[in-house]
Amino acid sequence: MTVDRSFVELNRAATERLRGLAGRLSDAEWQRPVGQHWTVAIVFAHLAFLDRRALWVLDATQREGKVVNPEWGIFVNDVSLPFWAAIPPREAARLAIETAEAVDKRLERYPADLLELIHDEYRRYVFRANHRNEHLDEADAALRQG
Amino acid sequence: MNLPGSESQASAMPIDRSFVALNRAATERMRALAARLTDAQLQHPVGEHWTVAITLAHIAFWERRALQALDLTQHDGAVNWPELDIFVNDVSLPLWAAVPPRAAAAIALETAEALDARLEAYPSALLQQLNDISPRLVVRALHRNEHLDEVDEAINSETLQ
Repeated sequence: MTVDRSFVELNRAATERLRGLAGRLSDAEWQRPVGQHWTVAIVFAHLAFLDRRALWVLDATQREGKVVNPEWGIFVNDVSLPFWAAIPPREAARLAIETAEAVDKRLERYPADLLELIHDEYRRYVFRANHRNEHLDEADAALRQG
Repeated sequence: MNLPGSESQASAMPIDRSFVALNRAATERMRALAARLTDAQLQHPVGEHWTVAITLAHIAFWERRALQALDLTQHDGAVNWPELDIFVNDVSLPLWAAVPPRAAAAIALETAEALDARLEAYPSALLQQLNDISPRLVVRALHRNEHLDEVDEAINSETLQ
């Protein structure tokens, strides 16, 4: 049985719908709430994110000649890359620092028994400094090289 | 993930609390880095595909993942560390919100166009296998239209008020 090729027209029409909407929205409409936490712009980011996941799966599957559909942790960095690149740099810094501060505070006041359990299974989720410093070392090295 | 035996009493050995100082120092290191870098330095390449700013966004993403799992674990009173797909949207939310709207639109359109072209030219045997796992991997219109319907509804309801 072959795949029903109606997906071609359906996908193209949905892409055209994206294009049509993006072409006519005002700046204010981009920030219009959609549900409790999202905006129109966030919906577009979400759509791109999951379409990028599908692209990743298609590429990996064709490369391997068999279905490759791993857990998110394997490729979420690749999928996220263009979004992270589009964030104004100082906003990225603010988000990183504020989130790290929130995690630090949370960990410092965390119930000892649960912290122990997490530490036994996922030490890096308690010693968050490890992940941060790995990447900050890379950034420092890149900046030194100029 | 709920671990076997995760509701048992904690072991007698107290956890090494050096994480407090180490984490705070790493946070301070980020703060100092952000404060001293110029706009150009924040865009400095780190490796082949990243920049300093992307590195910081990446750190924020994984810190949010940790935060979510800590919250879930405390809420449940037992280790709850689900796969990322359960809450990748929540983890990504503030990062998506920080993307300038028209940049989000450009990324969405470019990705949709690339994906449409890829699917249309895809080897049929592999396409069938993917479709068997989930038609939503192939008929991307399903996901797009669900959210575009929500957008239409949100814009129309505001316009009517």
